[in-house]
Amino acid sequence: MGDEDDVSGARPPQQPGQPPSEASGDPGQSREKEQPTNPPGIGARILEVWRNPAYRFVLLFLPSLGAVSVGYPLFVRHYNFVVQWFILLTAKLEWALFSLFGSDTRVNDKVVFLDHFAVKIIDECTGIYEMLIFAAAVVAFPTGWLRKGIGILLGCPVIYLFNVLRIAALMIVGRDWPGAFDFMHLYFWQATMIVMITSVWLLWILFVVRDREEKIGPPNPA
Amino acid sequence: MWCEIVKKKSALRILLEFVVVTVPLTWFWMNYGEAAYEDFFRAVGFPILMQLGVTGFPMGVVTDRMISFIPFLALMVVTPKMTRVRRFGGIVGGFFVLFLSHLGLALWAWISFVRDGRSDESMLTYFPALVIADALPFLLWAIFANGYLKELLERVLPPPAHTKD
Repeated sequence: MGDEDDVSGARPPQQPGQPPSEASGDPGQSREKEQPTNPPGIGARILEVWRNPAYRFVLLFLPSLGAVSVGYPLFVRHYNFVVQWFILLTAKLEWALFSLFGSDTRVNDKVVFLDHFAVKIIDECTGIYEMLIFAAAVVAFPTGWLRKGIGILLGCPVIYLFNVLRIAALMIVGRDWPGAFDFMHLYFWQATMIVMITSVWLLWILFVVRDREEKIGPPNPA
Repeated sequence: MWCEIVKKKSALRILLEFVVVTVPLTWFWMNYGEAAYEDFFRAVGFPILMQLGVTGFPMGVVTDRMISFIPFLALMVVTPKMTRVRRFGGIVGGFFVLFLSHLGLALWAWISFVRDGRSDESMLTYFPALVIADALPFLLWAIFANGYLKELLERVLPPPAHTKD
């Protein structure tokens, strides 16, 4: 499991030639030089939090998430047909996937049949929630808009593909091991959803953000 | 780059550990945890919700999201480079925030489905709560695993302008 080395409070190591600190020099001189050290003000503390990229991401992620979660219902109110089309597309893709392997499958509107087992595709099955959370995480990440655009354009289809495979796996489980269906549904829906988003997000950071940063300039020695 | 990741075993190891942790936890949640937590929520959460004026809400839409403990716990357990204190403290603090989020979800469900009346709009009104609830384990992890995330981000991002000189 996770290692125990803490990096959260890590300080940069002291340079060999660097004097330890002003206070350890001549006591008389240092007293003369000593300035009254005020505790950092609230502005400085906020700035310090902002300079930490991890906290900055969290602070930007919240409004991004708020924006997409409010924006999506507004979109649905006006363009519900797009969501319905997306649901039908997902149902047809599942049918096409099973047809490819010669399975006894058919699709009736939003219901997909695999032999005697049937599932109804609803909007939650399309991976739209995952894509919204992922998009918010990409938008909140402190990098250029081009890279964010690449992240959303590549990441969302990957998440959608994962989702199509997830439904297919669930249908196979439902047909062959009906007793395990509830567990697998819960596992592949809620328990692993966050790891799917986190994985695609981290892959985007490693392959798009870092790769491009390396091409633009030397990597950060940190 | 992919070879580098595989060599370090970090990403694959974390993913594998996540599976190893989440499978038994999900099984435990399905068979015991969910019912026990529902009882706890009725005993502790309902009185708080009643104080807030909640008269009733569709429990199903809230219980669906109560499993959020599992992905959060798994992420906290598999994240490398955390002290025991931070890991344990983060899990306890995160669980408390998740409990509060379930209260918020119930309140939102009451507003969407009961106070304003059940209609086609109800689910759309409730939707932001669902997305935020789904993202909360990731968000809490990003806060508590701040050190690991910071290290990762600093490896990727250029240093801020003020530190260049």
